[in-house]
Amino acid sequence: MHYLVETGKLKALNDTVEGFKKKYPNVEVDVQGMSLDQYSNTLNMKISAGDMPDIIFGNPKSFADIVNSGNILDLTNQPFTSRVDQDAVKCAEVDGKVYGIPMDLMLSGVIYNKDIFAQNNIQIPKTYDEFIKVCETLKKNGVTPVAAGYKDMASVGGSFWCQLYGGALAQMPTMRADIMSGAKNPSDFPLIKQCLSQWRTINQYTDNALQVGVDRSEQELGSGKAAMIIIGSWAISSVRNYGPDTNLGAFLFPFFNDSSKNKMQYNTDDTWMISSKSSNQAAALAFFDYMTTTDAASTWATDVPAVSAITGAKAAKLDPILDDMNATLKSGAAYNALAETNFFGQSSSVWDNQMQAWQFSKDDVDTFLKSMDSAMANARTTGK
Amino acid sequence: MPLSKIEGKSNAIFFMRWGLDMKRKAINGLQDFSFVLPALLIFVFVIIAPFISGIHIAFTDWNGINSTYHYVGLKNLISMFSDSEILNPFCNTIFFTVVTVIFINILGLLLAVALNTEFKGSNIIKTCIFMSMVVSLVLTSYMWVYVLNDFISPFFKIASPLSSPDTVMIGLCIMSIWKETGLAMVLYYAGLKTVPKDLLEAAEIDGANGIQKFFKITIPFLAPVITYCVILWLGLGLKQFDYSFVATNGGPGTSSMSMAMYIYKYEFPYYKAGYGQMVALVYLIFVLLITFLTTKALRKKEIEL
Repeated sequence: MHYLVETGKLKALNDTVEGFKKKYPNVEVDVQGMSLDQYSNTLNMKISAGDMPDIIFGNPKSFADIVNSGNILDLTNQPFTSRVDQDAVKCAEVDGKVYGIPMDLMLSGVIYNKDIFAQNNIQIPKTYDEFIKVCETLKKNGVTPVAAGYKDMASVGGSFWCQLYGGALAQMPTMRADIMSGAKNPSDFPLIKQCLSQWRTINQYTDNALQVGVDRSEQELGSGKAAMIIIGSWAISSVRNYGPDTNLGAFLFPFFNDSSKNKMQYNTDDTWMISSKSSNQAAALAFFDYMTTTDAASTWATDVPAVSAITGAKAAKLDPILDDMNATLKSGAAYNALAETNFFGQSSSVWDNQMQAWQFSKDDVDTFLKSMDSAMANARTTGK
Repeated sequence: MPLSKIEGKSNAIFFMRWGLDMKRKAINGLQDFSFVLPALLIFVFVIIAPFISGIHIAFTDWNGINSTYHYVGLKNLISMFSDSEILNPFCNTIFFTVVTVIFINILGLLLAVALNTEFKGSNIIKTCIFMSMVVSLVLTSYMWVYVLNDFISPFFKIASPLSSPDTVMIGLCIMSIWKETGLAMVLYYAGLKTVPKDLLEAAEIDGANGIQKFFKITIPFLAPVITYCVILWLGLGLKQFDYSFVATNGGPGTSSMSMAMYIYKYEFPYYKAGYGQMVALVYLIFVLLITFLTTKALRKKEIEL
């Protein structure tokens, strides 16, 4: 069961399933897909009904409640687990045990139109002030500086994972654990306030962001209507659907004016788990074993396209956008946003809702942070 | 024959007839009940039995997926009354219910009155208005999201009501009013056919104008239909879930979350099924109370009219 919608990822999944079926022709594979918005709810209902899928798409840290309830198989000692990059496998750990296999990395950045930049004589900004100046220049010249579609949570999430979870999160690595435990409130973190304030400024350079979804924002960038989008690498295949030949690249989002502090957020993207209650566990383990072979993982990385999380596997050719992101990753100016505890359960849902609410809010940032404190505290205490 | 024997025979005949009457009533009653039985069985197995078996969950800390849980007494109830976040979905639901009940009934009645006279094309118009009823709630939501965001907003250069926390509930009300007015029109139209024409003619002869005839004659005859319609949409409004979930997913943020969606969130994605169940129980009592009081008030008004 999965919530993949991007064309490349669906092809990757299809190729993996077909490859597995060729190796194990007697095994039937039933693939069920749905939208991200409905995925958690459907999965929970299936667990309650005793109808859990054998293989589940999702990161164990985001589904920690399901992991802690004993419904996900511990993969720590499986032979295929050691094929995952050591840094990447941390993203699939809960309490020191591996519960998922990540297939690729998710890199965040600002995807930009190189031709529009060249036409307007714009250099890649290295600081936040420079980034705003770039937006100003583009706006003056009649180009939508930043595409966004906050009607969809995917656009909201793509934006704050890029803005907040890179260099900023590196300065406050236990932020999420502290908020969930009640040790601190969101308003106790000056960098959260800075992120919200900067985000509001950036939104002045978007067009119709409150009324359209992520799909429309990807279309605006791909078709050349907008110059930039602040998002994750998961959106690349959708952007390319709208602009297969558009001259696009990516740069590190400059959260700080001190460029040495700026880091790109990265973590693992497409991750798969196995149900501990699966009656087809042997087949599920065989699928994972096949999926993590160099050939299958390389096919996956090529189809998506993405940087593979499997050691030795790589895409035949990376999109130029990914080339730029990968270069930033290799330069070391990157932070693994899933190395520490991530929001999960109600806290995750409320955090996302608050981030989306900020886009539509008319409150000043301090007032909003107070309501955010209340909402996160409520998520922690109500019904417990 | 002695009087006592005559009296005795009469009593015997009376009791025999009474017995036969009771037997016939019982048989008639059973026959009537047999028509209700299939629906009643479904209602019991699908609604009542799960409801009763789930009541105890409200007093536990069950997270919805674990195989075990603990009883926590009234902790969930206390938690509910100290949860400030519950006010938002509650107010949203009340707003939605009040607006849709008023507009669906008024628009439905106006359309029924307007289409009560036969003219060329009146049946086609009635059919077109009623067609919205055959569209599912989910499809209605998707359609109106597109109409409001991608058509009306750019065409008339106005902000879509779904794009602001201040107006999103109005957007959801529009969807419901569009979908339900057709049924209201049909119900009121049927009600209008029960108004005796001779009464209306007599009133006209006596000098009553259109408005006087409507309020003094038509409305009293429509009172039972009004009672039915108000209660129907009161119930639908209070349990509203689909528009909030499908059209906006409770957003922007949580500004269009309804009570039903709030309960759903706690039951499933928040892994606090015990608390969600308690909120559901308390809300059920609230809904029953509101519909009982409203029905009582409207029935009293029917009698007065």
